[in-house]
Amino acid sequence: MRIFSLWLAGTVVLAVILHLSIILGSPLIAVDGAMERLSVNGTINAALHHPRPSAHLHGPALPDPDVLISSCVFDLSDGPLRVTTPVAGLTWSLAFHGDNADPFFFLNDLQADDDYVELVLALEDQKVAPNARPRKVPVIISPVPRGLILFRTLLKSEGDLQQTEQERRQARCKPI
Amino acid sequence: MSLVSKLFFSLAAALVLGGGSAVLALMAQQETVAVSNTGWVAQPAGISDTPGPYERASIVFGDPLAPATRELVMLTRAADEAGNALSSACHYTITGRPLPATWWSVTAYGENGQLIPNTLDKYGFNSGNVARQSGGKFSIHLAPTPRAGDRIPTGSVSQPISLALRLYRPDEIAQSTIAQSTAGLPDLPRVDKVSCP
Repeated sequence: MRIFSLWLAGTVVLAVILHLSIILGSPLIAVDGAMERLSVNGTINAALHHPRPSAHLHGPALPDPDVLISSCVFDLSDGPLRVTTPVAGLTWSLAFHGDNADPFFFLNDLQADDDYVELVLALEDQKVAPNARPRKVPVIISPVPRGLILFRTLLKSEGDLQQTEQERRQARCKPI
Repeated sequence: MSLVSKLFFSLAAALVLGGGSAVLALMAQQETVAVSNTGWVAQPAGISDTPGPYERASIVFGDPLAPATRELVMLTRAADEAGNALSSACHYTITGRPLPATWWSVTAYGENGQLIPNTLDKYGFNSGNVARQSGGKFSIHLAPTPRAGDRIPTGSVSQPISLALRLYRPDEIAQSTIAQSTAGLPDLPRVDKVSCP
């Protein structure tokens, strides 16, 4: 009876470990997959401007042909990043996600003070020199060293495509 | 029972209990919401600003970077008003009224959720380019061959198709009624079959 109880306890402990491993590990795998897809050949700390979805490109299911996506996979291990971008399109947003899936900063065109956004992204213990942030550029603290910035630009009309493309391609993400 | 058999039994039981309970918990988090009295199904929104471990883990079944509901509500359907599966070979009309959002779009997809190749490179319509009738009503053809008026081409390959309705910056009532699956959105577009070859 005692041996059976021990086996039972061992099985339950194993089941709990497996359950927690799946729950805690799956967001890391999902975000890692998204970061790998969006970093294109492993590019990090640089903005990438992805082509507008079309039937000629095969990517994730249900792409939105009216949204232009730019992204920046970041790694702050070697220092902070400067993020600059015009506010383009009909609606526009900037979303920062950690590699643990948590969104930690969001800004859209309604919240932006200006039609040009400049931010510094840093870890809490990283010092940002005053001359690296003239005009008192806001510093966004990332809770994790690695993550992803997504720039979403909604196209107003086909006639605006060229101008909106030009504007959203000005988005930058560079180490300071 | 030999030691190897006991070990195998233990591992199998742990796999079923631990793995099964985790998958069930995640699926419960990602449940889609059927909007009452319509054929539309609301897709899971992006995770909240302060997600718990189960909400965070649930993204494996969806888009890990999906925008929050305040930015976008996406609804999908793969059947017409009669409940029959949508087919690229058939002719349908998508009819509706102004939707409670800053901007909206309807897009057609083929199998695997990919945009449907067509000579016009036209995949859908939106509130900016759809032709309006009186009262802001609209009517869009979903068909493989040309029709008078707005048309989403469904291509030359016969296949099951689906539609996505995106509401950008939906108003607060739309956000809550869709999330709660209430019948508060009677004006979501209808999809009616006109003919099939």
